[in-house]
Amino acid sequence: MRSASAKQQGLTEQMIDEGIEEYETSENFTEAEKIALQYSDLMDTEPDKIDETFYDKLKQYYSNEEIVELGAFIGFNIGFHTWFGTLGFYPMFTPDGRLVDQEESARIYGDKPISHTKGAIQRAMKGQKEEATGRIRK
Amino acid sequence: MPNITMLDIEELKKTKLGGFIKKSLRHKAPDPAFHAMLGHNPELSASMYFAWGTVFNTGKIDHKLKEIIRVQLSRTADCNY
Repeated sequence: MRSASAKQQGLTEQMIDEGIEEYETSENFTEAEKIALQYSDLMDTEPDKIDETFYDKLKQYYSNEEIVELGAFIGFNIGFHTWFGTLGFYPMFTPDGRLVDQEESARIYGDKPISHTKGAIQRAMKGQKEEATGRIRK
Repeated sequence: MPNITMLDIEELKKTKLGGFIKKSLRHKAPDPAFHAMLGHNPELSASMYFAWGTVFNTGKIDHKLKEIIRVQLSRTADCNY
């Protein structure tokens, strides 16, 4: 599921995918956004690369207050998603915002978290149609 | 199957977490599964919910950028949540 606020502000699945998969070369992100995405990427995968030089670059775009905000947000999410990943549960919301049970959510999202544009949205819509026609018992 | 029991959100609505769950259902985030798991420890679930709301929904960093980061980190952690 995606943040309703972010979607209302114009965030699309394509922008999410671009921000994750090709933020470094994308023309749709500002330099400030790119370094924030890199900050998150490196903190998650190669934290040793976040050194004084990196923080100097970060400070060209963000105040210390904003760096603390970004860092706390990133650290919080690395911890939670790592833990939640081990618990093996699925969202209760479908990509289109319906509440479903774990079996249906597993069918929609699949084994691995991948782009919602690569099947989850279509599977959710299929489930919605089936639900509407009474083929899925809730 | 989840590795710890997921609590029933209809039952959780009757507890001190009820207000948070209604808000989650309205805002679509965090997914109510957050409380279905953390609700085993209601005090901690409430505290973490407030912390999550603060880091995600307040501050100066663009909310859309935070959502991209959140999804980025969920994918690398193999977390479908």
